[in-house]
Amino acid sequence: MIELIIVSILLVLGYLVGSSREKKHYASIKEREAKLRHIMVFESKHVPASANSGELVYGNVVISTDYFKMFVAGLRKLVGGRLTTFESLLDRGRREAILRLKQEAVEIGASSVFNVRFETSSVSQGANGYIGSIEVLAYGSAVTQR
Amino acid sequence: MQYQNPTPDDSVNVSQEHPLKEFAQLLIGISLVSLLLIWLLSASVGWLARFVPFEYEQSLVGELDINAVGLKAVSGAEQAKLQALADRLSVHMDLPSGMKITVHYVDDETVNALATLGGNVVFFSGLVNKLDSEQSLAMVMAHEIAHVKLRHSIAAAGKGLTIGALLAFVTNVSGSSAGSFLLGNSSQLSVLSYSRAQESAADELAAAALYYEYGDVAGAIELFSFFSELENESLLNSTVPTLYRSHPFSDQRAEALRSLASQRGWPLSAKEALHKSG
Repeated sequence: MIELIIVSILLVLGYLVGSSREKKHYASIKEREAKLRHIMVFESKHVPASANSGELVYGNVVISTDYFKMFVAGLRKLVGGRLTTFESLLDRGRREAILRLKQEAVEIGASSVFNVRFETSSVSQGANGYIGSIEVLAYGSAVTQR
Repeated sequence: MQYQNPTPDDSVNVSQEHPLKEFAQLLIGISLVSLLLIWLLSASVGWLARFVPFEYEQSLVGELDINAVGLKAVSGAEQAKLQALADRLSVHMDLPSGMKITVHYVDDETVNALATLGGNVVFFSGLVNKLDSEQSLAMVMAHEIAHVKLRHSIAAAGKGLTIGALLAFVTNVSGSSAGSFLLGNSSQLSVLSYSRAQESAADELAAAALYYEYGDVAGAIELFSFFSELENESLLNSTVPTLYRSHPFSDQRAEALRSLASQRGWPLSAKEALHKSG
């Protein structure tokens, strides 16, 4: 019975803290996206002729799950289906990585980033109940216009 | 070329479903399925256990060496008297042929007694020294003999194996710690509930044996009020809810005994037996 009580406390804590942090993160993401809207990011490899100089920029972020998310994911693993609790995690990770990429571009005076690619890796592999975390890397060539 | 960067709908990649709703659906769904599965397994194994011949149980355990599990079994006057009590009560309990009760007496302050495979019953000196009358001791003895007669030990062993196997499959194949936690708790609840049912069944048989040997069930009443006192002494013990108890609360056991006694016409005390007509 003690185990049940401990797990319940961890679940409540994980849910409350996790969802509050997620809301704050999304608010911050939206705010910065509005500010950095003038930096264009392209997936295309073709750099326009008007480009002056280019430099590799990247944005990197590591986000951890909380106990509640891992618990729901564990249950979902038994029956299959969409893991919706992790969708928001990856969404936040990718958008944050792009924002940091844009921030680096701003710092070198670039106005657009070309050939943007994503790399997602899972730190600690989330093996059998351990709290997993995801790392998202976004990289590209930042280009300053003449 | 002029590029524009409008603000897209940013909620496309995220599910709009509330996480708590998904959590509740999964939790309730999987809990129900696992409770059903475990109940089915327990019931069928419990039912099949009676077909395991008692000789198999005996050969499984062999000559039970209590000392091998770290308990000090003593042979002497106490053991002989307890064995004699068991033999006297066995006569009233209608045991199948070949079922023999072997009593072991352990010098340990644990206040407990248990019945295990092969008709072996273990009594701890802690319990024996705390009981005031032979009749309450006899109730404990009859209760343990009832467990042996009803094949509870082999049923419990079988259930332990099958549920353990189920748990192992889920844990190792799915790698889901949440799933095995849920299954583990469901099986714990199921095992405890079955354990309580077994205790009640053993109580009934034991009370009958007591009536046939002594003419009344005062020993049982005395035993349950003694257990009740012990339960109330420990804060930890008294606050554990029934769902998590291996035995029903002693008050409930006494209550069940009283209603059974009034149904079967068993006197609750020697005085009542004396005044009873016929």
